[in-house]
Parts: sequence; C-alpha cells; structure tokens
Amino acid sequence: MSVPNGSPNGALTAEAVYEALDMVKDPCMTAGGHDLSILDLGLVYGVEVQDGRVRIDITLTEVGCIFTHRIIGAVYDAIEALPEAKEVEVIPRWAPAWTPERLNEKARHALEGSRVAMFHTIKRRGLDVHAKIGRRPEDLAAGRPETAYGTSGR
Amino acid sequence: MATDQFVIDGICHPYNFSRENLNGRFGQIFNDVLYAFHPLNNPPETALSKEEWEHDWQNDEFLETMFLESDTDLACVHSTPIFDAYLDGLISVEKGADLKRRYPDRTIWYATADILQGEQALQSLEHQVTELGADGIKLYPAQYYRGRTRFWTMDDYTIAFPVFELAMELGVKNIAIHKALPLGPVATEALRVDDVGMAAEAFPEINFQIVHAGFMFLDEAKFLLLNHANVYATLEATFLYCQFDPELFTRVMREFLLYGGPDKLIYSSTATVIHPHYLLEAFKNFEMPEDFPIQLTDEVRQKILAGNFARLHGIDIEERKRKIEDDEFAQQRNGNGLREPWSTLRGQEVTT
Repeated sequence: MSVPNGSPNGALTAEAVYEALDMVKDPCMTAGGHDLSILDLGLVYGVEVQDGRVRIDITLTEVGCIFTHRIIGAVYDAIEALPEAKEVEVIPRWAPAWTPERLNEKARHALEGSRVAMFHTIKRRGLDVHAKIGRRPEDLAAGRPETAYGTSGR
Repeated sequence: MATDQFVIDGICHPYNFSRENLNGRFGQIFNDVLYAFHPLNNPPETALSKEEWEHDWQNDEFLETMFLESDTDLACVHSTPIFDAYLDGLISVEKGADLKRRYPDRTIWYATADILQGEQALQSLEHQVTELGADGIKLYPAQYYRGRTRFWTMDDYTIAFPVFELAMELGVKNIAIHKALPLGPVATEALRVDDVGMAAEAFPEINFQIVHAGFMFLDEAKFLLLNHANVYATLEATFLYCQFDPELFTRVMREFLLYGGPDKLIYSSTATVIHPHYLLEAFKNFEMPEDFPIQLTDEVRQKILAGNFARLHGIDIEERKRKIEDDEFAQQRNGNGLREPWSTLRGQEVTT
C-alpha cells in the first residue's frame, strides 16, 4: 500500500487522511466485484486532524455488520501508516443512520441494479428508527445540533 | 401488557469495560463498537458518556442497577472467556461465583472456560460447578488470536463432546453457546448454528441455548427450534432490535414464534451495554402484526420474559417470588418507584 503524503512542512492534513481512507475497501463490495472504498460508500461521517492527532467518525451500512471489527481495524492500520499520525481514534456511530444518499457518484454507478433494492430496504428501516434516537450525550452537553459534528466529510 | 410480569434476564453482565482491562487494539475496537449501541437504547438525557460507560462493574452496583432501576427480578450472568479482547475475559469467574454465593435467590450463574485448552478447561468447569455453584455452562466457539481464528464446533467429538459428557456427569442441564454474532474478525464457520443439532441429538438431557439467535442464520436457527425439543433461542443482542429496529424484530419473532413457538424464546437485555429499563419498556409496547396468528398475550410475554428460563432451571416462579419478596432489593423497592436509569452507577440514587 502506498502511503499518502502530508503537507510539505510535515504536518498531517485532513486531505492525507482522506487519501488513506480511500484505500480502505468495504469487504462486501469487494466480494461483489466492486472496487469501492468506505469513502465511496459514504461511511465516513467526519475527520478531525490536529497536531498529528486524528479522530474519525464512521458508520456502517447496517447495525451489527459482521465486518465491523475488520473495517475499523483497517481504518486504524491505514491512518497509523501515515508517518505524521501520532494518535488515532476511530469512533463507530449508528446515529444518524447511513442511507443510500451517502453513496458518491462512483458508487451509485457501480451499484446500479443489483444492490439498489437492498439499500432501499436499509434506508426505509434506518430513517424511521434513527429519527427517534436523538443526539449523543456529549453533543447534547455541548449544545451541538445533530448535524454539527460529522458533517465535515467531503 | 400486565405490569406485574415476573422478569428473568436470560443474560446480563457486570462487565469490566475499564480501559485498563482492554487487550490491545482488538479490545479497544470491542469497547468502541459495543458503546456505539448505547445511544440506540438510551435517551440522551440519561445516556452514559464513553468515560462513564467504560467501567469495571462491581457486583453490588450491577444488581442495584438491574433490580432497583428496572423491573428485572432475577439476573442470569455468564462468565466469559474473551481473553483475546479483555485481560480478565470481560466477565470474570470470580464475579460470577461471588454473585452466586451472596445472592443465590436473585442470580443464576453460568461457568465458562476456553475449551480448546482441553483437560485444563474441563477441570476448571468442574471446579466452577462443584465448588463455586455454577448453574450452567457458557461456551465461545471462536477466538481471534494473533491475526488468526481458532475455533471449534458443537459437533466435535474431541473438543465439544467431552464438555457435554462432563456436564451430564455433574448434573448440569443447561449449556449456552455463543453463535450468530461474530466477535471481531473471526471466521464465521464456528458462528453458524447448524452444528447445534448434532449436539442436541447426542445429548437430549441437556438444554442448548443458542445465544444471539436470530442475529444471523435466522432460517437455520428456526429449524433447530422446530426439530429439537432441547434447543432454545436466547435473544441477547437480538432483543435490542425490539427497540431500535422493530420491523426487523418483528421478522425475527415471526419466524421464531411460528417455528419454535412461545416456549422456545428467552429474553435477554444485554445489560449493562444498555439499560434494561428502556428495553423492557420497548417490549411492553411492542406488538406483532394484527394478522399474525401468535399474538404477544400476557401469557406469551410471561413465557419469554421468565417462564421458559425458569422451566429450564427448575425455578418455581411463585415460590421464588415469596423468597425474594422481602429481601434487601425488595425492601428498597417497596414504596419507592424505580430509580432513575444509571443513577446507581453515578452515585445519585434518585427515584423517578
């Protein structure tokens, strides 16, 4: 795996983190013959980088995904491979729920047809359920609205 | 639903989620993933922060949380051998034995061991049953070990059957097997449920509980419930769908009720990953579709919430009610409402 570069002055940038995240593939997509990363699927809710410390909020397409540990482990591996990364924190989040709207154009095009029905099933369930869930305790305490954290993803 | 239902939590735990107990990256991801479930169950007003949640639960605060903050009456605790993620296995044998010794009328305890260790594991299980009072045995079929999966299956003559033979010898009638929910990047072969059938046929005197039944391999599990009188579905984690995905919970219950029937299902809260009060409230309000032939009557609910588990362990619910009606938990409950969720953990025992 090639290692993305940080900025010229050696500080880790969000761009470099995103570049590394783009190398993390979703096992189900790979099994289905699609070269799609967790970024293509819209699984990354947000990235914060400060002084080499990285915090990544991610979700998966469904609660209880059997590849949860594998994907999160791969994210740690990808970011820790960046020479400038001093500390990495990966936060799995189920709220707000992932929906097919988070797919990028590449993923939409690749998945047109065979998996659309599955995604719509997930969407139908997820939207209804997570509308009731509300915010994380730390967001509530900080007075942050639901969408304030985790929308910094591209 | 009647409000006076007796409730036996089929699996709940005084976990050790403390950061000091994490076994490397694998343990850290374990904690992170489990905590991610917390806000699905818990409204933000009372939800635990990650720092609060990462707690080494002590037995007394665990029982007060179960019995004073929810309508749970009895708690079944499994010790677990998840040493690949937690240094003490996550729920230590010592905690289970202590609960059983001090609260025999309020707790049921399942012993555990890593049975890939062979004779050493058999000796440990025998000790936990004969010397420490374990009521059943909890087994894990797969471990993540230095990048590889070590696993065994329930139909293995050399690894699993000696445990079942020991259980018979010791008079242990209940064995719970973790299935259907991968613990990390382990191979899924061992998490399939089909192999339970062979064990159930070979050891008809033992009740086999498929823990996490319905989470995966729903079709396979429902036929096991139908085919084998001694196979049960213990709905740890699966029951959470009652609260955060009722449509999926309906689908699971539809299959299990049709094929296994109301006598084969066992409630479990998964506490203290989540709070049992919110889950029990969700189940009170959960109904099967009107056109479904098996409705969740008070009778059916009582079987799921306590009756089936009580039957497996020979517990007479009316007799047990009398035994605990004036114990220390009952005395604290009498005249007081439920304590606010997590108030025991926070040291703020406030009644609602």
